[in-house]
Amino acid sequence: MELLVRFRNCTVVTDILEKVDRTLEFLSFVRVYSLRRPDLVLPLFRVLRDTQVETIEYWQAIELIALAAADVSNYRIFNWCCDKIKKRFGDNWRLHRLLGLFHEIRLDYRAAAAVYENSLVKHPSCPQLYKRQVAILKSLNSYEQAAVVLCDYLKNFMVDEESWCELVFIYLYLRKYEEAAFAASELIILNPSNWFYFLLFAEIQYNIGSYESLVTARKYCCYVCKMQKSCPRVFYDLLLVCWALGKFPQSSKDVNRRLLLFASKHLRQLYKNSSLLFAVEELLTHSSSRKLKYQTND
Amino acid sequence: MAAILKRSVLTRTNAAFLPNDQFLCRKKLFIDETRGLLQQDKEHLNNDVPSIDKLTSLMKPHLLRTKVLENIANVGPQMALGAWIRTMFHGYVVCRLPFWVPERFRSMLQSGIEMMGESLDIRYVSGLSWYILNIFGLQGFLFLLDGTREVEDMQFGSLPEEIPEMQTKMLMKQEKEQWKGMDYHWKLENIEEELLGKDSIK
Repeated sequence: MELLVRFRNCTVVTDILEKVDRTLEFLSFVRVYSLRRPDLVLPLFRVLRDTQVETIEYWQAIELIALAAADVSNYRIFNWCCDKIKKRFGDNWRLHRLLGLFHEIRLDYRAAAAVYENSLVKHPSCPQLYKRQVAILKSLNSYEQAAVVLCDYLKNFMVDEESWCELVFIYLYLRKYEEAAFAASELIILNPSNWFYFLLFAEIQYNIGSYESLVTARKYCCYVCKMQKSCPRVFYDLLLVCWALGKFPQSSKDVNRRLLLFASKHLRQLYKNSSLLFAVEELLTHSSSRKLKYQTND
Repeated sequence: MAAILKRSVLTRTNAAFLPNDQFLCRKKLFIDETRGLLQQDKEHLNNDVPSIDKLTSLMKPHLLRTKVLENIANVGPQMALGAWIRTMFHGYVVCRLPFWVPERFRSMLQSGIEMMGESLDIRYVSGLSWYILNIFGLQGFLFLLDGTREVEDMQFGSLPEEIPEMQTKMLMKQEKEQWKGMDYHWKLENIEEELLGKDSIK
C-alpha cells in the first residue's frame, strides 16, 4: 500500500526537479526492500531518461530499471541502461553482473556462468560475482560444485556471515554433517548473539548421531532454551535429543529425565491457549512411552 | 590478510562458545607449523590477493617511465592553464570590499596589479585574486552541487584497505603468540546445571 502511495506521489508531480527527486526516492525504496515490481519501476524510466544527476542514487536507479527491463524482456530499455552505465563507468563488474542477471532471468544459466567466470578473471576480489556463481550452480542442481566455489570464496572473505550460512545449508543438502557443523560453528564465532546459530549447530550435531555429538547437541539446546524461552522448536529439539540420548547406556538418566520434564513443561505452556495443544500432548505422550520402552530395555 | 586477522581475533574472542574438538580444530587451522593461516611464509602471505611491492615496482624501468610520463602529462596542462589564467585575469580590478582589511592581505587581494608610487586602496580586489579565491573557497560548495566526488567514491569505495606488509607480519606474530598463550574454557560445560538449577542435578 505504501509502495503504491509513493508511486502515485511520483506521477502526480508536474515540476520536473521534484519529479526526479521523488522518482529516485521511490526507486531507492524499491531497492532497499528488494521488491520485484517491474510494473511500477518501468513507467518511471522516462523521467530518468530525460535527466541526468551525478549521484549514487541515480546510478543505482538506472541499475534497478535495467533489472526491471530484463524481468519483462524489454531489450530496448535494458540495452539503453547498460550503454549509459558503460559510457559513464567503463567496462566494470557491476555491468557484468547486470548482463549475467539478464541471462539468469532468461534461464540461460550457462551463458550467465560464462559472463561471471570471465568477469571474475578481471575482478577476482568481487564478492557479488562469486555469489551469483554459487546461485547458478544451485539452480543447476550442482551442489557439490557450489560448495567448492563457496569454499574458494570463503578462503578470501572469511568473515562473510551470509556465505557461511549458505555453506551450512549446501552441506546439509549434501548430507555432509561434519562439514556443516564446522560451518555452523563458524557462524557462532561470527555472531554469538544470534541464538538461531546455536540451534542450527545443535540440530546438526543431533543429525550426526554419535554419543558425543548428542551430548554436545543437548548442551547447545539448553543454551538456546536459556536465551530464548518462547521458541517451541528449541524445546522440541531438546526432547528429541534427550530421547536419542536415552538409547545410550553411558548417558546420565537423571539429567535426561529432568530435561525432558523441563522441555515438556515449557512446550505445554507455550501451546496452553492454542488449538494445537492436543497435538503437543500426543507428541509428549508418544515420546514418553518410547522413553519408557528404552528404559525397560536397559 | 586483514580477513585472516579479523577471523583469528573473532575466533579467539568467541572460542568459549565452541566445543573442545571445534576449538582444537580452529587452533590447528590458525597456528599449525606448516599450513597454519597465521604462518608468515611468503607463499601463504601472497595467497589471496596479489599485491605489488611498491619499491620493486619503482626499480623496474618501464614502470618508472610510465609513472613519470603520467606525471608530466598531468603537470603540463596544469602549467598551461595557470599561465592562461594569469594573462587573462591580471591587471584589473573587479570589486571593492565594503569593509576595511589589514595591509597584510594586499598580496592575497591584489595579486596581478603592480602600481608605481602611491599604492592602491587595500579594499579593491583584483580579477586574478577574485578568481583564485572563488575557485578554492567554493570548492566544497561546488562538490555539493554536482555529486562528482560521491560517484567516484561509489566506484572505488569497495576496495579493501591495505595494511603495510611489515605491520601485517607484526600483527600476525602477535596473534600467534596470543593463540599459544590462550586459556580455553567451554562456556557450555555445565549449562544443564545452570538451566535446571544447581541443586536439582547430582
